[in-house]
Amino acid sequence: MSANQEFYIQSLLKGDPKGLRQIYQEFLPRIRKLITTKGGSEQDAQDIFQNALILLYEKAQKPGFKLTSNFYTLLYGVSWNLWGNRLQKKSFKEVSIPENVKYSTDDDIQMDMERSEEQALFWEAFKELGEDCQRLMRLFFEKVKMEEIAEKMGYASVGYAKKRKFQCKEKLVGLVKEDVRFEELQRSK
Amino acid sequence: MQKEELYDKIEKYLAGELSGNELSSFEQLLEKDNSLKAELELHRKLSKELGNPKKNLLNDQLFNLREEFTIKEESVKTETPIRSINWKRNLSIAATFLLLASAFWYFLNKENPTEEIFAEDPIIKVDPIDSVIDKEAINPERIVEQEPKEDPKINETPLATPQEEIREEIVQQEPKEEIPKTDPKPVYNFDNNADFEGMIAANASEKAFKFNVEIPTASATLASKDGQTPVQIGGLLTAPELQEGEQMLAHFFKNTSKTLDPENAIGKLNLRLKKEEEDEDVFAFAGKVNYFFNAFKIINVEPGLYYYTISKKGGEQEGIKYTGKFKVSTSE
Repeated sequence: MSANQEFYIQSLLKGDPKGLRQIYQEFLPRIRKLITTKGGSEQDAQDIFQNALILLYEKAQKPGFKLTSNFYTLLYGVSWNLWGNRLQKKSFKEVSIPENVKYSTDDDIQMDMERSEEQALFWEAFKELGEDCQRLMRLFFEKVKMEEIAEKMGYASVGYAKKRKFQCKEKLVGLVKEDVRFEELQRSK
Repeated sequence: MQKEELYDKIEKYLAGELSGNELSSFEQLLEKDNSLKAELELHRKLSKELGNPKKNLLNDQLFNLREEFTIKEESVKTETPIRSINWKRNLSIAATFLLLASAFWYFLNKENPTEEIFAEDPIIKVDPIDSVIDKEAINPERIVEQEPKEDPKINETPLATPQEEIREEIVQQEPKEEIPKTDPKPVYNFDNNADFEGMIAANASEKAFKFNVEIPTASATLASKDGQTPVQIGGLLTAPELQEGEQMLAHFFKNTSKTLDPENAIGKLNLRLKKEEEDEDVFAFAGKVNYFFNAFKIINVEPGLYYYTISKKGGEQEGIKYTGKFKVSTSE
């Protein structure tokens, strides 16, 4: 593989701003075209593109991962399958995508896709929280002690930090559960 | 239990901070209460996913880039028309389909005139039938296995017998161009065209016209003789019943072609469709009909990677119904 292909993967793994921007510049238009010509909106295209990148990131993180293909080929395949999966969800039980649309790799790609949809849902809900809640929840999820959280957030007491943490989490859980995709994901289990 | 108390319990349980009576009574509750189980599971997943610092970093950037790269104008959301297909029925069709395909393959092997023509000197090298053709075609990892390496010699997959000498000759006949050392151009171009690979991957999206192309297989390498390469395209098409006289047409393209538009094609081939008459009942559903097609042509091309498209004859504006590829290699 050329150094360039490896560069994209490394950018994903390191969260390198320059590399990530390059990935968007080079590949988003093509994936956008794919999704929008298959009945998706700009929003859908952005969703799929982002999810596909996250999925590739996860794949690349696994020990023993080796980029054996062109980065774009991989991205295209993953995007296509994510979109097919979504279309299938939209139509609920009426299967509209033939089985052979899904490419099956060594690992269970369907599981990967479900997980990636779920993760995207979590992140979108998270991004809907206020700045304050996002910071607080981030610290909480990273298992920072409540005392330290109170201090970092500039709260007067640990009690208030706990109260605030509950409010933020309630909001987050509510946002996740409200999302139609959440129900769909539960159903598909 | 109040929500706040519930969250607290769940978090403590996940953190392994419950013990004794508290733990056992919570576990008892869990066992009885499926909604509690679901709630616990959600909290666990949220904590795992959102508590991943690397994911945080990556997602922050992706959300920012997304903001920046989103086309702002209110794009008209087109609802995808989703055909409702009875899946059970579809499965039984698929099974019959496979049967027919194998029967067809047998028929091809047995009666195909091209096979007879080349009976003594089989220059068409076709891989054995593989029911996962479609999967192969859309599996990027698999596609990549065929991806050419830098050295053109390695790429020219030798057929039955290695043709080292001949290849040397041909290489020498090629006009030697002055090329910068940093960018050595292969004599023959076997490079995948990313956009066309995308088209192959998108084959399965065409729901109205379902092609099962048996020949050439996704990894076929066709042998050329004196610069002439016999190409055969054969398989099964399941489609809405076609009008009298409607036919399919294949176009061939170089991998270096800019687009798959017919004007860029280096050749074309009529695919005469033969309607499958038997078992009409089985295929009557949804107005779909099975057509066999099998066409043959000798094309005059240099070794390399070629793509082909199948579209309705005279209906190119309707779009490409299928995209495939094959390699052409040298042989005696």
